[in-house]
Amino acid sequence: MIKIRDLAIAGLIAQAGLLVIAGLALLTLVRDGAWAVEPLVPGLIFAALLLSAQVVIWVSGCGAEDLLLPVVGVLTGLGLLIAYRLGGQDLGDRQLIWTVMGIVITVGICVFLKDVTQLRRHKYSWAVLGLFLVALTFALGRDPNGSGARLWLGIGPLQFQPSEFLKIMLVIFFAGYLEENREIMARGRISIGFLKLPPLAHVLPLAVMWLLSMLVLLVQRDFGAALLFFGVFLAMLYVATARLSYLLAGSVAFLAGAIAAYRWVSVVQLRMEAWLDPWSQASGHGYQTIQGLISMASGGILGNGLGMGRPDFVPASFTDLVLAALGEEFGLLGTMAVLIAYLFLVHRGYRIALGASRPFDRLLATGLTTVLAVQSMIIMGGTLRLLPLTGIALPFLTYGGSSLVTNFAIVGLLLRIAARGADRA
Amino acid sequence: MSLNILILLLRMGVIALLFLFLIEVFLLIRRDLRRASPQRAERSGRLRVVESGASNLSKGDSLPLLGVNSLGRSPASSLPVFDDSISGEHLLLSYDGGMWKAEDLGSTNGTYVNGHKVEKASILTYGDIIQVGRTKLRLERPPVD
Repeated sequence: MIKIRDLAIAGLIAQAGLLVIAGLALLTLVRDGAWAVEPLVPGLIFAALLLSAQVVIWVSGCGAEDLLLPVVGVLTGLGLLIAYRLGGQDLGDRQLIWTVMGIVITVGICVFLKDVTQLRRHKYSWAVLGLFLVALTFALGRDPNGSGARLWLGIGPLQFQPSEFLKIMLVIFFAGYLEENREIMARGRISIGFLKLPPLAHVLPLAVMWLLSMLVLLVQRDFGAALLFFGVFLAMLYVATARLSYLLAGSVAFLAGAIAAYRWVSVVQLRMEAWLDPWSQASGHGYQTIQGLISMASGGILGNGLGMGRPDFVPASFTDLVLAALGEEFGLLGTMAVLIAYLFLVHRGYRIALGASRPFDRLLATGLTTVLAVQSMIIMGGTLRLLPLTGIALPFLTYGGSSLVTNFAIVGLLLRIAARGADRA
Repeated sequence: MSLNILILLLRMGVIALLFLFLIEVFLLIRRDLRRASPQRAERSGRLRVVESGASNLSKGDSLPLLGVNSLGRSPASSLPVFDDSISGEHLLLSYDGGMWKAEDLGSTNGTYVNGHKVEKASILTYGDIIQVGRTKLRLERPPVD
């Protein structure tokens, strides 16, 4: 029997599709000054695919969580529009192919992975595989877009960024590890005067993660990645042990490390200065930040309209600074809409975590949601100059295959966990 | 209709569609949250007295539960149990995010779930035996209505 709720969800998905079709029509009108049907085809493909994906999800018994896919659909749709707008037909088509692959992966996880707890058994293999792939980029990495960072691996014509996949693999590992050890990590303590500290051995994982993220900060000079991995680990540690002291100690340690790096490492210092005062080096390190700010400011409240701004002045406007391009053409309203959509996405993710029946599921959902949340916060904060700008993908909106596929895999896992939680109730 | 007007309409249409979408999602989320609100906990579980050490409870009694329940000797408790072995404010039982949690409020004699002492808030499943003082209670699934 078809419920009213399901009709509402189908309606939402249709609206996400309609948004893309209307956007593509607008783009065509602005560019050519005339109607054409052909440019609208990608929108139709996108809408049809999303709708059939939701149907398969319902049929496969994975539909307990039904708002995640529509919200992700709207974000992906906006990303698709921006890819067509800024990169032209070629780039847009490629983003469409990645989107298709992403949606297929979400559905595939729903249909074939019956129980996420299976992932726990191979937790060390996942961590090792992830780290191995990343290590491989040091040796065999490619740099297809000349950014200076060899983060890509290529198999024939296919290229991917292992650091994206590493996120999921590490979250699986953390979830498995913390589930095994959370009892002792939450309970054991030694007393020094009035201070009650967990025994040294239990702080070790925290210390190791801190060291690793500091290594990423210093060697890779990637503040965003360091913050992301450490933030996700801390969130999961807190959920596993319910001890605020870990959270506080971790945050203080990270902050101290970042400040020390700022004091003594010149590259980090340069980045920080470009953040605190980009105007003093407007044509140097502050260039990207400033172009992004100008771009957003010129959009005003309503935006210049899709296809009518000049976000092409902004370096990396369809990857790292996609929010600036969005702000220029969709205005403050469009930016707010995207923020609200992320809020909904994260809310649903943590809700799935709360409803999960088993600790491993709960930790996994928490970690995966935190990946999306922290990542969007870092890059949106960077674009808006609330944080130092680091190159990291804005989930679902940024052009890029690895990131899109990874994020859709996260959606698939979350849907699976939600379905499991609902079975029990 | 001139091209410019059409473009303007489409521009506004896209933004309007975006916000219409978000409002609909918001309404559905609000519905979900209301459905999961604490009042619904009444229908999410009850306590059955398995072993009574107290004068005001007898074996087999069924105690209805709210979203948040305090159990203790204090008359202000939502589940008052008058027994010397129970502290004034002994145990907090709460229904949150689809699951029951037990939290000991620093009682003198402690709380035990299935024989294990409750240190922090711990998650309960239906059928768990909660022991406070001399009283043993079983968390039960509510009757199907």
